[in-house]
Amino acid sequence: MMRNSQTVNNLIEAQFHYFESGSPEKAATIVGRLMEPLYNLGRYPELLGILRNTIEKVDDLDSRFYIYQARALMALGRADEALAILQLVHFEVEDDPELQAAILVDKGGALRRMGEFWRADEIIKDYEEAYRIYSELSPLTESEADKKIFLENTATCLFGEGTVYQYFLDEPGKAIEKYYQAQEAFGQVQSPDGIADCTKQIGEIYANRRFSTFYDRDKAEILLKRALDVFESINYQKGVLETLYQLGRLRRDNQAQARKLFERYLELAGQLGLIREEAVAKRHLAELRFQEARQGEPASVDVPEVYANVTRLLNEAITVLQLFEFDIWSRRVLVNCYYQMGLVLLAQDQNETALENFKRGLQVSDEPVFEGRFLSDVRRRTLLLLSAIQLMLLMEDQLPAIEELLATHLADFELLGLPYPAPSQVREVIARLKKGE
Amino acid sequence: MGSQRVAKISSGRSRIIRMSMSAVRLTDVPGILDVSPRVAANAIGPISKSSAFIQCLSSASTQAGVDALIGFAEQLKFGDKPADEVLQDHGVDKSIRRPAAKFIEMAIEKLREDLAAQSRSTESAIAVEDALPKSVIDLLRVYLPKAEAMTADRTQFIEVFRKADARKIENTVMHHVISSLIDRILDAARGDELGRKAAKAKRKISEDFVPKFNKKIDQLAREKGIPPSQVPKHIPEWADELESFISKYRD
Repeated sequence: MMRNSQTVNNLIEAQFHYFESGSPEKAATIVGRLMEPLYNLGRYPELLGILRNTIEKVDDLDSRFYIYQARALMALGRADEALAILQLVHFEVEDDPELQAAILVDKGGALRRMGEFWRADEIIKDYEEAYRIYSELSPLTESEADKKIFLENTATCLFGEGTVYQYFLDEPGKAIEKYYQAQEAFGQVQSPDGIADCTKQIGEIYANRRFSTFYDRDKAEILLKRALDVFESINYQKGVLETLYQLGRLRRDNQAQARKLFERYLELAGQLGLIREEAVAKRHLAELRFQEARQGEPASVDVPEVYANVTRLLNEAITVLQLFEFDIWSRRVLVNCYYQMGLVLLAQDQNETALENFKRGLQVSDEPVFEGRFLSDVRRRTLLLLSAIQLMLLMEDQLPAIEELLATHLADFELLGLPYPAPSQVREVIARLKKGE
Repeated sequence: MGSQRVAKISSGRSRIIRMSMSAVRLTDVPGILDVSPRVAANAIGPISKSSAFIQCLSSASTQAGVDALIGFAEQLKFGDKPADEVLQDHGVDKSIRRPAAKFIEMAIEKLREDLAAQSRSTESAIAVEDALPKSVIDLLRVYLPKAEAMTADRTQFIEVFRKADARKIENTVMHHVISSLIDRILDAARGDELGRKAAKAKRKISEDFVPKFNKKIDQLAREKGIPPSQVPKHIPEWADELESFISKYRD
């Protein structure tokens, strides 16, 4: 795998030169060689820019260019555009099983990013179909290199299935089983990033309190660190970034450590031009700094200055995250940003603006993308609802509005097994939600 | 939300792609450039009103394919209904933000429904099923910036079909039907060992020979004042002219 930045930079120069000198076909040949390494280096905005230019200037490009355009878009949080491309390219490659399989794998990723949980069975079937295709292609080729690629791709299919079990179906046991199978296949082709990706995913499952039978922080930390070491040793920035994020979340109880991890995450995301990830980092840093200020740490902390800093971070994050309309991760973080902003404003006795932010968060968390009724989404929505109600109770003439809000979210209380709260119980229910009960 | 792992694409495939990507490289492949028009002409065979190729080109399936796209465009241009309703009538729900794939899927489904059971599995029906998506994608690429074509949203999609004139749509569909029919004949004729060579020949035929043949049909249609939506059914009437055109490429 070409991960040498200098080689990639030389190819970027070369394609630029060919375009400038009026040889677009030659430039396209170079871009064709550049797509995979540039993607693997996590330089998605650059890849997308190069592909846009190539697609505009060169006729009759083959389907791989569009597949990589979709991949870059997906990595940049634009999964709905990626899916649109993949669906059309799928029609164009009907007589090419290998590309069809690649598209099935990518489609699964896009649907997952868009939060289309009701299509979980369809996605799993697509991964199974892709697995079947790669398994059948392998004996047909004499090239050892191609055999290796097909085997690695079967591992990628198993990995994809694992993610659906983990994120969509809440079946961590089944997910781990798939990751171990994938890891074994990645091992056979000596793919360190594949092996480490599986390690990271398993670590993420052990780090998740929601999976109570698996929850084990120490084990999670060992696995995530192991994955991070591998990613760093092979300069796999995408893997480094994702693992820093998971470690940061795991260490949230140790604010200083978590802050360091998210600062590193922010820096790397900036280097890679990933504005969504930068926004995510800012929201976490804002939360950590707010908590530190609330606890009076360090003793010399200038609280108003910290609040101003936190507000700036959240505003920057919100501005970016609003752009990612169809990316479920971005929408979740956006909801969290509004909630956090509400808390910061409350701490400064700005109740009305705090209420506005809780309501904005509630509005986002009512979007169709959250109809999946994942308990974590429902919990987040209910927290915002009750936070808003708590403030509304302090204001005059709000009872009809409160009743209306509650009436539209009754099902959430049922799903969470929470009592429908009387006004006097709102504070207590909020506390329970924050504890993750 | 976890890692995004993607499938790798084999080096064998990449080699094919690189070799077929530019005409310059195609010249390196002995014989392909020189023989592709002859390969196409021989695949089509002698043209007469009753020849298989002409029967396929003028079949109800081809007519249905042309009608599907021209009909949709005309509803958008001249119909009373709002564009969203027209899309809805074509099976594209309002919730679908990027309608191209769904539109194609539904157009193919309708084509299958409209054709009599015995026509569904004919060569021409299969060729039209292959041509419809490629035609829609081509039209998007013609009327939108190419880098945005594949991600067209509802407004862009509607605008493309409002802009596209009927003759452009008909020509695009016919191009892909002709290409697909020739591909199918070559697939049936060739042995497996010719796989890679055949792929290059097909591509070359689609790029060079098919536009010329299609242009001849278009020229005949214009001369005889045939509206675009009626072209497929009139093709047998032009068998002599088409035979005369194609015979110069034949052995």
